[in-house]
Amino acid sequence: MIISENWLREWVDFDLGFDSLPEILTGAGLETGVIEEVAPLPESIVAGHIREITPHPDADGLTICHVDAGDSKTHQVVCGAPNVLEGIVVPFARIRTRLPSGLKIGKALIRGQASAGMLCSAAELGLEEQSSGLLLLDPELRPGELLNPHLQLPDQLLEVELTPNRGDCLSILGIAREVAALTGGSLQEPKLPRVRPAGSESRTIMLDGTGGCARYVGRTITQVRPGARTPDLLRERLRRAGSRSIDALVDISNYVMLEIGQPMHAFDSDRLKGDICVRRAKPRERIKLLDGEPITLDADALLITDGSGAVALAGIKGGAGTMIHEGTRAIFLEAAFFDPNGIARTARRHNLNTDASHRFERGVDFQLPAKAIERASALVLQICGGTCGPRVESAARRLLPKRKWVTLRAARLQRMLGVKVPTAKVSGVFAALGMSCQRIEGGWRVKAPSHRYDITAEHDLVEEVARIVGYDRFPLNRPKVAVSRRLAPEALVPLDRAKDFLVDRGYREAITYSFVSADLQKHIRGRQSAVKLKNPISAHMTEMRVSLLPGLLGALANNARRRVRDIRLFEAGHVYLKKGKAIRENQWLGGVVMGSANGIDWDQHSREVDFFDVKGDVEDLAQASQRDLDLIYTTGTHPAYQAGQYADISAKGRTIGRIGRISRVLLSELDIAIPVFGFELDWELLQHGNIPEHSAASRYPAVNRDISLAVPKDAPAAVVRARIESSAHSLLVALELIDLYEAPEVGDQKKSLTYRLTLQSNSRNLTDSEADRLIEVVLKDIREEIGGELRSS
Amino acid sequence: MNASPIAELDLLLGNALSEISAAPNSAVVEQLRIALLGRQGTVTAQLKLIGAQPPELRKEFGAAVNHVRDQLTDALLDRSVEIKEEEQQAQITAEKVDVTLPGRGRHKGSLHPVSRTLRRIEKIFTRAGFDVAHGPEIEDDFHNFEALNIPKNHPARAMHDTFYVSDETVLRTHTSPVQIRYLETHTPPVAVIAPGRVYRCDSDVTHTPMFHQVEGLAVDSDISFADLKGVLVFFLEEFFERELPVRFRPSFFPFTEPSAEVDMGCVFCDGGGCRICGHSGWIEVLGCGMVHTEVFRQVGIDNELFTGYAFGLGIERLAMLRYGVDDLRLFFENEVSFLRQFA
Repeated sequence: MIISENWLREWVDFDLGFDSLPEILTGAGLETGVIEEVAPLPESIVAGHIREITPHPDADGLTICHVDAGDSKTHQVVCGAPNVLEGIVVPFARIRTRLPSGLKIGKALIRGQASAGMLCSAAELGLEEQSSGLLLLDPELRPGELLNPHLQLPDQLLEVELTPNRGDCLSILGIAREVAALTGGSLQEPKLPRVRPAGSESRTIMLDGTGGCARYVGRTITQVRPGARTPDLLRERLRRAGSRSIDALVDISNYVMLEIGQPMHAFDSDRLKGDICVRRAKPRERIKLLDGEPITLDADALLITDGSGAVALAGIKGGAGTMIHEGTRAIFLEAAFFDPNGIARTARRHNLNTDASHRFERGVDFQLPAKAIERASALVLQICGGTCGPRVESAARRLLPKRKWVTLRAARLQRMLGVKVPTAKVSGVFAALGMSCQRIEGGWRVKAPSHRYDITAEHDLVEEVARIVGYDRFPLNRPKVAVSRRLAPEALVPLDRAKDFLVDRGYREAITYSFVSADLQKHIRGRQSAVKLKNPISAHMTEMRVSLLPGLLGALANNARRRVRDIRLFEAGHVYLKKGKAIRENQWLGGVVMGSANGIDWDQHSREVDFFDVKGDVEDLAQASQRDLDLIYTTGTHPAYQAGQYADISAKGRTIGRIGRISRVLLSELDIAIPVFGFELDWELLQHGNIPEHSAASRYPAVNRDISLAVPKDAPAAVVRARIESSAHSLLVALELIDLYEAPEVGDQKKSLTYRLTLQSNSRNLTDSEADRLIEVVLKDIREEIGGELRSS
Repeated sequence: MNASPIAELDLLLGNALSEISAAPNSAVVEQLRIALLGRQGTVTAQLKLIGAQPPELRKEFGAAVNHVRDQLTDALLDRSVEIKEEEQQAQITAEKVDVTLPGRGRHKGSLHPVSRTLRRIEKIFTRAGFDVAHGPEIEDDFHNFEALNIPKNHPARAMHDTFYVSDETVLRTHTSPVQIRYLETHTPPVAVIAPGRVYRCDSDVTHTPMFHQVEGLAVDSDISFADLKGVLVFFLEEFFERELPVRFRPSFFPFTEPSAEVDMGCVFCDGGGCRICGHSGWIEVLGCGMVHTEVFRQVGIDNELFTGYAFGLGIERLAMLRYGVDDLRLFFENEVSFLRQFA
């Protein structure tokens, strides 16, 4: 809502400067921006009457105008505007005027003809962005009359951003009420000449009683002058309020809406057939709106209809068939009260947000329609002439909003605000806001005026007192003691621990959008279905991710395009898994790695990253989160990964993640040319650790034995390891793979694995022969169950 | 004629001392020790000759031999200590490195500025006694709107450009639904913050379709607007590590009343007015208010027994102010050139 100072001061008399309003209004909950100046015109621009025009002898499209500017002589001005005519009144810039654009007017010869001064368009005066011809001024202006007072220049504008609860402030009157309440100023109503109905033309109005319309006021005005022009000041006020001038009748209804907040509609009365009926639409009933767009309605929509059918979508937009046009000679004016919810539903359903629906949704004063009809009628008579018919009204009083008495308890007020506000001050707030107020034992009874829709309960009154007194006047209590803080269980590993670990391992944390491209995700999700958005914001963000890979790989690709090659990224966030109708959200942790494994260093060869670099990170991450967590890696397949370099990760019998080399198909989708490895872990499952339990360390020396085993090439190392662990059993305290060797001398289908076993007893010194016997047992089991044998020890 | 035995000893001593001092390493010193003082050594041989001397010479000769032995023992010891020092020095010289070469450390990664900011926010509020809770991002209409006093067709819904999954399911437009979920499962007194991702169907220079919020909620028997002001001023001063002017101005949220928006003095110009604060000297940082009676009613809390406050703040906004990031979109482009600046 843009407020002009000159317009506002017509409605409220207050002693303060306009520049004090931003702080005052903002402090009371009406957020305002900075003041914008509307600069005055140079004094040397005056009303010029074009007395005579003659064609320019040497140039098509140019005319020579003889202009009367109120002084004794006639000014000859060469003009190129298409709308120049004898008898019109236009802005005339005298010689030596400097226009707002900086252009200085001098005496000139234009194609051989003298030109002294300039006839101006609105754009040249800085009053519009662009213009197509001369600005036509009110014909009543005297030649030479100054334009500044005529257009009420200079002016100042203030934009007020209103929250949805303050529909009552969507007008000059509404802001004036607030200014009066906040500054102690007085509200005043500019008088318009009283309208005396002289005609008898009228229409009966019927309401269908479904609650959509509780009051409808109308008036027929006949014999209006077709094509009347909007007066300069009215048009200029509309412009400063951000509204475009269209046609005098339409401008008048917009003007009244901006001024007092009542949306209005003007029908061409000659095109209305019979009486007006406000009713719900029939299923699939259609209406063609005034911008030409036909829409199909449901039975919830509210219509204004005449004998022939729908003529307007109530409170939202008029219909095309009955709209005002150049030849309109009779109008029917409408001002009504429509149910806010109904307007909101219909506007939302058809995606129509108009100035009218914006106000009706937020609640328009139900006492306002008659007043609006009177103001609009007066303006119509003044500007377009005509004969007024009687004002007709139909109302369903039981459907009109009721203003109830609301009780405010002094104790409650103090409890909510943390301070006692003096009784007189509270009463003063309600009086200033135009509320009826009675003192009662321990509080007040208050009734809101008809324009306030946001005062229905005690807390609304608390807010009114708080905002008028000013939030900054209330005390500030420093935080007191802890209320309900519970420390997280010790066994639960904080996600931050895992993040820190990855950061220290060289990973950078990324945050990617939760919605991803379905085209990319189809290469990843396999049979997992994804949650789709009904209204995605872009074709690249159509469904919710089921994996962290789309985002992470996208970020890799983004960096690769900028020639960043060596990069590790991780992300912690939700994945959204759809199972039938149910949606599960899980916290996952994932990473991707590409480029060099060890970076560039002055004494080491750079090595490209491989599966085991990433696996090392995952193993250490698991260890950093919880000691002794055994992750099981099982060969498997997954659409996002390359077969043969992929493993499912499980722990305690549950699948908790995956790791592997990203498939070439996926990488080529993203234009990534070098290998990428990735992992994803289900943090919900991984985060459950345990509380350490101490056991006494053995006091007896440990014995080391290295054994090299030739085993079948396809025997997984994890199986060999598990075999050794269970055979060596309780004396084995550590087992490490210290070498992997594949060569002809080991055998074609064999590989050599060398393990170091650390053996130790809790109760005695282990003898060599005991250790040897244990190794024998291990070797026997390896031979029998894996088909491996000892190479050397 | 033969020199006297004493003179021969002097000669022996002189030669031996010069050999010892010329010994280049500990092995030669050891050879000399054996040659002189070993069982077959020359000095040892002289010691054995003491008894063979004529009685009048025996005492003098004995003293002279012993003197030679002691002199040589000391000289050998001195020389071996000297050599050890030389050898250590040589070793140190040989092992010298260029300490200015870079270390062999692995390159460090980085924590996202949103995480970094959130950690700080969580720390400040947990110190003030708040719990941390989380809720789903795919939310039902009831928790995201209805229970927060935003019924269908309420104009406030237009303030939220909502992503829909179905008619009744949305991507949460704010973290406020966690208030409802928390109150459904906890009885007052409660104090909790709920951080997380939120979504709005809006994308331009100053909006991304996803961003992060932290919701705060405190409910107890006598919580007032003064407590709300106190906790937020405390938070802002802790977060920015300085005292700041803070302004509370009335605003509207359907789920709080009275409601306020909170501005703080611009940290870039100290309130003098600059581009960042739109020349107003103030920067809007969060929204808050007293929990609306309708919200308590929805979760079955008695409005007469309890009062509470709620607030919501944008993490990216705070990160931008704290770290001087001037473009919101940078947070989600994940370019290394950006990420690396936040260790």
